[in-house]
Amino acid sequence: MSELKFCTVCASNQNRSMQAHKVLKDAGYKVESFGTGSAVRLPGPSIDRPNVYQFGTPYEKIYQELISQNPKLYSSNGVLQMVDRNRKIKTAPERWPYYGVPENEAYNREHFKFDIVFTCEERCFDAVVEDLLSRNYNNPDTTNNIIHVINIDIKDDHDNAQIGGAGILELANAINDKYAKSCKITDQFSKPFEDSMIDVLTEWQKGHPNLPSLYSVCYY
Amino acid sequence: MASNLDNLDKAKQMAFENNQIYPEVFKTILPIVYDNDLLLQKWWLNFLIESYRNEHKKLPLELLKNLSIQIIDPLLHLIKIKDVMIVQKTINLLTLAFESIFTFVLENPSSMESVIGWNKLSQLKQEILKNFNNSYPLLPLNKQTDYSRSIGCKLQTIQFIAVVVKVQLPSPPRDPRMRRNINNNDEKDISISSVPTTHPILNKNLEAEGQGLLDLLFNHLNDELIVTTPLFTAIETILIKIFKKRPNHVYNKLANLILTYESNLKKKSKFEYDDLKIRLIKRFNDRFNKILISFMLNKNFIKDTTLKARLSKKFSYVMMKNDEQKKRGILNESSDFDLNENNKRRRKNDSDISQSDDIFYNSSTIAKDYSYASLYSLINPNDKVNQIDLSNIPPGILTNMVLIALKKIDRQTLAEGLNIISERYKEIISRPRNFNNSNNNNNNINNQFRRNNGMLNDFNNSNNRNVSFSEDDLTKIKQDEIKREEAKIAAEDDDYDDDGDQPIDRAELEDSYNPESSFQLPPPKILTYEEKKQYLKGIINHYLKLANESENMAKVASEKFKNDNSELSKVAIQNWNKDSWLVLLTRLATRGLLEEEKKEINGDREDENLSDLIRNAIFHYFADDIRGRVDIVIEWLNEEWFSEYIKNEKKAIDLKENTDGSQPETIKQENEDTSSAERALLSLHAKGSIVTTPNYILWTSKVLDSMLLFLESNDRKIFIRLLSDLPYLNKDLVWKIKSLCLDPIRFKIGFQSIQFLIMYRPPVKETCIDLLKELYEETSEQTELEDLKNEIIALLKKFCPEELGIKISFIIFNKFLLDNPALIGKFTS
Repeated sequence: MSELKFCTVCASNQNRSMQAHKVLKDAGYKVESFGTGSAVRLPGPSIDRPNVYQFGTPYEKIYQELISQNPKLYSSNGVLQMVDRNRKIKTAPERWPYYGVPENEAYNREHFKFDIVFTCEERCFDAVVEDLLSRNYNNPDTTNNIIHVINIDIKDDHDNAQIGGAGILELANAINDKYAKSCKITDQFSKPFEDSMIDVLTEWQKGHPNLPSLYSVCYY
Repeated sequence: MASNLDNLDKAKQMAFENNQIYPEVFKTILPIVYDNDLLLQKWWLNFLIESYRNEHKKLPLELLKNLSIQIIDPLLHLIKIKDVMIVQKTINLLTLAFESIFTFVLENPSSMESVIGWNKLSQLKQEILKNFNNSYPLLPLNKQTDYSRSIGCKLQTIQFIAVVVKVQLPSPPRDPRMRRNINNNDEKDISISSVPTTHPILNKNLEAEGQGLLDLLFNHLNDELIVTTPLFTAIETILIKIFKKRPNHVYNKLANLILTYESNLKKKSKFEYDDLKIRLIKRFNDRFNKILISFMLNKNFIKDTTLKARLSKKFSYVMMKNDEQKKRGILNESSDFDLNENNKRRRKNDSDISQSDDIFYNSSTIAKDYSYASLYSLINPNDKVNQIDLSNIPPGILTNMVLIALKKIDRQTLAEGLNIISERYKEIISRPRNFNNSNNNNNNINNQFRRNNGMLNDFNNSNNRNVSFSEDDLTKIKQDEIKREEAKIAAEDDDYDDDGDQPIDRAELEDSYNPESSFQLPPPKILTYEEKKQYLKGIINHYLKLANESENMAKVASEKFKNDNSELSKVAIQNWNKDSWLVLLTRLATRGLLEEEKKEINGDREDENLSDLIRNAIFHYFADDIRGRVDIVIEWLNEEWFSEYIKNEKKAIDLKENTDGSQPETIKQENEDTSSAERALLSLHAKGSIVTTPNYILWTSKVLDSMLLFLESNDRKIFIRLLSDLPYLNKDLVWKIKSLCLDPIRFKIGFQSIQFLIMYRPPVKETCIDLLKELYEETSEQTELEDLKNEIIALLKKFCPEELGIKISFIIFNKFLLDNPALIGKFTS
């Protein structure tokens, strides 16, 4: 039986998407994560002086830099622990592979194969869906795969990232359960997992009123 | 199986590595499509999908084009397999290969392969498109729910439609200045534009079909019923694809769609009760629509400034709506945001629930499994009603619930529901009977369904024809019933044995089953005398209860009957009044059990006793209140006499006719000389003399006996009324008054009654006078009864003066002889 492949997306691929990445990975799912912003932004010494990194800058490097800047500050606001966690999950924050961006061409072709994308902010959801529309417009002959994009609106702080991550795991489990069942039985009495998606989301939303969801299906 | 798949994988690898042998591999593995093995069929589809995706350009396009015409037949076979994965992959493969097939036909116009292939492709296309609005390959439930089912197949169909639309609509005219910049992709824009007008297979009708399919997508989104998010977003996405390839055909419609789409105006399915689900679908669709507006604006696809402004306004509106909803909370029911007052008004006027012809959620005519729930359930399995365990409710209450439900349910709804269940039943019966051992349980249930099949036929037959039974039919039914009972007992024995160690072969029982035979209801069971008596007592008690009901109740009942125009009420009783019960009860006693009384001939008088049960009941009812219920007893005894007279008159005539026909030769000869007129007179005479009414006499005697005991001086009127209204009086009955006449206190009632009878009932005048005479004789020597004697003498003087004179002379003479005994000898000598 084939497995569902998940993807988590937030703005900087640091906090919310990485927390979700961790819980999904720990649960045994195939998962990747991305950020939709133009660069990775982390809290700096003051509000008007954030730490900005290019996507692709290794977490290890960011971690070392933050320690060298002000370990006390970044420990007290939790940024250091967050980056420390991230460097144990994957090498570097990755930007969402927008269509048409030259450096993403190779990635587009080889790795861009997800069944479910979880975005953690409505802005990110809009960016991902708009990119998928771009792919359909610009490359209509090759966008034949189906992808489900789900947004779970999570505030960008440590606690909410924890809550949001747990919510995403719960939803992923429910979807995976339906998917596994629909792979086993495919006859005329079965219920394909696509048919269950709205029901699963509705049930999940009832239990998570503070995490408003969005959902769409696209081709890529 | 695993080794088969391994071999196939190896063959696939070889085919991809060496293009030369690909066609050979293709031909060799083609038969697995028709193997009825889902795994192998899926493998074949995956192999071809991988080939036509051709992600690594391993296969030359020419090769794929030439093979494409050969995959149509297998796909036509596979599309009919009711398996979700098979159907999805079949549509997916056809989507990928459609352009290749089109190109092949385009380039080979005179090839027979092209003609046949294109015809079959049209068939396949129709097969796919006709299922777009239903749940195929899933079992259908109802139209509205089926719109949102089998989404995986619909997502593939949407892609297929996009390809067909693209190919069958002409490519946009190219700017000659752009010719130099044409990239490879654009050069491959395969469409009907490349088809020469002389092409014998591909014609301009295809363009109309392409336009029709594009409209199908737009119509789906513009439907009054809200489209579920996966389909809504997929269709809008696919429209972007088509917009790229055929902008002229899509631009206006797409702009209009995203501008006017308003989820709040859409109706929800009749069978969707989860409001949150509907709110979420609206929210998701609105958001996607907003992203599409943003996409169109950002990419500068909208050139018209007015349209651009309107879309920007719409964008702001959707954002505001979304923010408002978020602020109020996603679960808040009032989070539906609607700024537009016109929309609000429209919503008020329209029902929020879409109308549909479907009555039931699950209108599927095929049961999912062999359970009774699958057979009978017509509601959504998620419906909370399903959580109620009716087995905990006492049978009495449950029966009442069912009866009330049956009373209230609309007849058409009930018929519709029963039809669905009946279809499911038929389908289960028609399923193959060979089950393997793992399906033992199902097999047993299936057998049970089969055994009950007769009931289904009966249901159908009763719907289709009026049933009438002749005597022969009834005999046949009775014999069939006996046979069935025997078979049932045998089957029960088998069932019992199943629990033991010995396996029971049911084959014999199965073989005796004949699905063609029609089931007929068993004839009613013959009741024993005791059972009849028990039921009759129930009927009597019911009628007496009715008799004791208040007059108001009778009035209500009367109204009810007046309103009922059924033939039954016309036949049975016109208007229900407080005495109607008596009419029915007396007629039951005198005529209802008439036929049964024939058994008397065999010495069995039980049925007569049944009639007497009713008579006794009426008699006791009367005895409870002789003054108030004299009307009842009069009506009863009149009915008693009338029916008995009619019955006995018929008997007398029959007897007469039989006697005439079978009398001994001597008598016959005697009668030979008599004319027919004389015979008729004799017959009439015979009737007059023979017809007797013993039952009437018996029960009238009982009534009089019981009444006479309790009569009081002031009951004169009711007693005379009774004597007046009784249909027939004989000597015995009249003689009953004697005891009353001899009563020192109530004698006046007796004499007044006799006087009434003498005056107003001439047939008993002589009997009454005889009674008076007897009374006179009996009382003449009793000096203490002077009042009584005076009454007798007065009546005799009035109605029989001459007789009285002789009697008095005779008495005086007797007295003279007693006074002068010496003269006795003189008179006697």
